[in-house]
Amino acid sequence: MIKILKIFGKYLIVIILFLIIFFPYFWLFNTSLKEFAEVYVLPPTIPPKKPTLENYYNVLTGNTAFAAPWPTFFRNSIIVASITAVLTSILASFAGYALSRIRMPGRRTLLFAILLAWMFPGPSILIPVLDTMKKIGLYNSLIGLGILHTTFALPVATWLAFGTFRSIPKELEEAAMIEGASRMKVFLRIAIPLGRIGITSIALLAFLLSWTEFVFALVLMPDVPNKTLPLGLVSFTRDYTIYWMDTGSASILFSLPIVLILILAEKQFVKGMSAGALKA
Amino acid sequence: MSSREGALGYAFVSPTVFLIVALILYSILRGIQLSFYDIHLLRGGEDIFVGFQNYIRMANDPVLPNVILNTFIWIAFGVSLTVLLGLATALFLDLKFRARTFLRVVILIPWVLPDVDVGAIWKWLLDTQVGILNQFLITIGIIKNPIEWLSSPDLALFSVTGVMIWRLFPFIGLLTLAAMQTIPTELYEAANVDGASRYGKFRHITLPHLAFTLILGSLILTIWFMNNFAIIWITTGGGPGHATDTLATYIYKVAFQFLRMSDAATISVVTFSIIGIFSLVYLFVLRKYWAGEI
Repeated sequence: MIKILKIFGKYLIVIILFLIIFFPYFWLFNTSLKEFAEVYVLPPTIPPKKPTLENYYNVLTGNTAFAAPWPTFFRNSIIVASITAVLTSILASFAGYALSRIRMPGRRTLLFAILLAWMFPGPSILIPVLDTMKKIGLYNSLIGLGILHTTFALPVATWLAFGTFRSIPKELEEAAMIEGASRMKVFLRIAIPLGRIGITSIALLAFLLSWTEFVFALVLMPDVPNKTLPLGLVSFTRDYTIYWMDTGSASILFSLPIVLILILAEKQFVKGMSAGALKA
Repeated sequence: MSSREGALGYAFVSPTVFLIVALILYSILRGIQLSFYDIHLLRGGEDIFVGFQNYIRMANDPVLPNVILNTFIWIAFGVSLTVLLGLATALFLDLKFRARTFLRVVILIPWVLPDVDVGAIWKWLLDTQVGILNQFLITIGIIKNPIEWLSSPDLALFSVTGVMIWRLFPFIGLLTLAAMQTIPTELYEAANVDGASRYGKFRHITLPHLAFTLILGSLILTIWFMNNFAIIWITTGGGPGHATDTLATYIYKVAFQFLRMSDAATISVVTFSIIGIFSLVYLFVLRKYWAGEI
């Protein structure tokens, strides 16, 4: 009897935990399938009485109730996040490789100093960053935002790259160097191909960081044609009347790539996201 | 040979270091400098040196003490509960049951969702009139009148802290679970032979092994709470009044809504100084944790 109770208790916790984790996201999804008339109906309906994909269509074509050029936001986010992913994976590969393979004085200090830079990007450096970006002409520029996001992604990305290259056996590289290959050649021809999985997760991590970054984009992108998706989404929720079916479908579309990546590449993803936290 | 190698190494690292120095380190130094000036960032024109005037004004800011108290509550409650819930989740996920693998993936959802999504989700869920949480609590008879989760000055700060905990406890859960799996099983077997209780094993084997992970996790969480802007911004906008303003949202408001750029720069200096202290502690613990491994 006690055993049955124990098993029952265990699965009760499973269900509660599952609901706590999943229900909030599901609830927004549920709302995103409703027509406006049904959104504020009490008691709320699960599933919607007349489910529709119209809200998604409206977001993708930019015809939401609270007008916003969603396709433009979408394009901008793709551009900025792609710049960030490409730049970060290249620069972090170089840095991570050097820090894991090449003997140089101050290597450890450098490694920790880079990690320290991970902590500061946030509202407390917003004003000086704005000041700098204006001075160097990268204010209100998609490329500028991409470079800034790259800088924010680099500390963790460098550590990830460091861990990636350190875990590759160096015998192959040493053999090639004995035969006269240069360090550069060894890096490009041997280390990069062997580290490609790690480098892919760096690109992924950088893409996501940029894709979701909010406060710097908010301050650095004053013009609507340059705004990114998070800004569009937030402008929705700051209005007095919130069209939750639109906000819902935009939020779901916005998070869809991330949830898909999570399901498809869980292990890589977890490793990437928790990098720098503890283990390289 | 080896000095040429070293030079190449520095060359490989230099673009990364350059960006970090130019945009992060320089921003910190420039931020300190700006706090001594009357800044004309929004208007154009010259900045004027004003000495400690900004700091004197900051000391007399009637809202700031409240904002600092909010930040303290947000971090103290947020971090401790996130760690406790994360630890409990890890202990639970370590048990054997069906759907365990499934749950370990699903649990990542709050953590991987963008901040702006998390904010939107909970703003909708916690809405006083039409939010599903109030509807649910009324239906099952726990409450009679809807609770003002996000609009009551007494409750709002705890509600947004709850949202942040929801977002981050899976992270600590998985971090802790990973650390638990590196504990040698022999230790538990030996304890079983000695007839140790379940609590005894947790207290004397599991917890000491998790200490570093939990300490590092708490430090990272502290910094994440400190830097988080989007979740508070979307759910409450720092309101009602200043009830949920933390240093992060207050800096933004002072700079871009009240247009007191110099005051915001000064509060920024205080903020990143606190972040700096926690970061250095973090690095100190991390170096110990690795003790020569790198």
